[in-house]
Amino acid sequence: MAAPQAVTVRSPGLLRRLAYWLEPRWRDPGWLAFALNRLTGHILVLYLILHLVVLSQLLDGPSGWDRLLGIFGSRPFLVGDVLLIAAVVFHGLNGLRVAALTFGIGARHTTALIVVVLVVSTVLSALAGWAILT
Amino acid sequence: MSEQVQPGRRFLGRPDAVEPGYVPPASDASPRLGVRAGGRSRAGRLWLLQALTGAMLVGVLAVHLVAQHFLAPGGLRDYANVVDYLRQPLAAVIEVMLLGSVVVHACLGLRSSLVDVLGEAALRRVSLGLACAGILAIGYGLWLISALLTAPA
Repeated sequence: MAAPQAVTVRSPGLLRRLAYWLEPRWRDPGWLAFALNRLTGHILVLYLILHLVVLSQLLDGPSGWDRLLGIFGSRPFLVGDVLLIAAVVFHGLNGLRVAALTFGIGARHTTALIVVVLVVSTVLSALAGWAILT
Repeated sequence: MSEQVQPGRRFLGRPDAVEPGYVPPASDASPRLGVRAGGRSRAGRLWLLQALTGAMLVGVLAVHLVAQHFLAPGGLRDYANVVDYLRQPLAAVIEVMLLGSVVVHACLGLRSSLVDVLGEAALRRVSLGLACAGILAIGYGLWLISALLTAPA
């Protein structure tokens, strides 16, 4: 009797694996929260890098830093601030939800908790937007 | 922060084709994630650190945002205001805590994203790179804070 032949299954390449992350089918609310958490996390990492770079202007003293304040106070930057706060609030609240889930808290009400996180994030971001833009 | 879900439908976005965010239980000894049978896994320790830094961030980031933007006149502090603020001991401690927790949390978050798309060898190299970048970022932040504390007001 002949020995069974080994079958080699190739793992998809990196680009193909990344493309699967954009595949919207078969997704549930948990996936939506997971994807939004990851998206906001990456946005916040980019902002963190920019923030650390911009803060180096403080080393130039008042002439370096105060010159930037006019730019930071302009309308486009303020709108960006509101979007950033929305990302921070959602990422923080969803992170607390995921941490609670790990300890078994809210495991039976995952979808409801995701809705609560989205609603509270929207309300807090709207309040922050109102405070910043007015 | 990864959400732990049970593996079900094959998801080809990960090298091991399990659901995103899935961390195998300790009984599935996996050298890829450094799981040790009967003990706490490396993935578990990193997740715990990410959760702790995340919880810390909720507090210190809230203080930072309120103090630096919502309490400052016009929403932004000028140079003299920034230096004055940092020279309050509690404010300096909070900013150092924010720096440490945000950098560690960001590096662990990036790593957990890459767990889902990279193979074992690449993940090890990237983890080392992220650790170096995190140490550099914290060092840069501490140097910046100390320079401002000793700068003329």
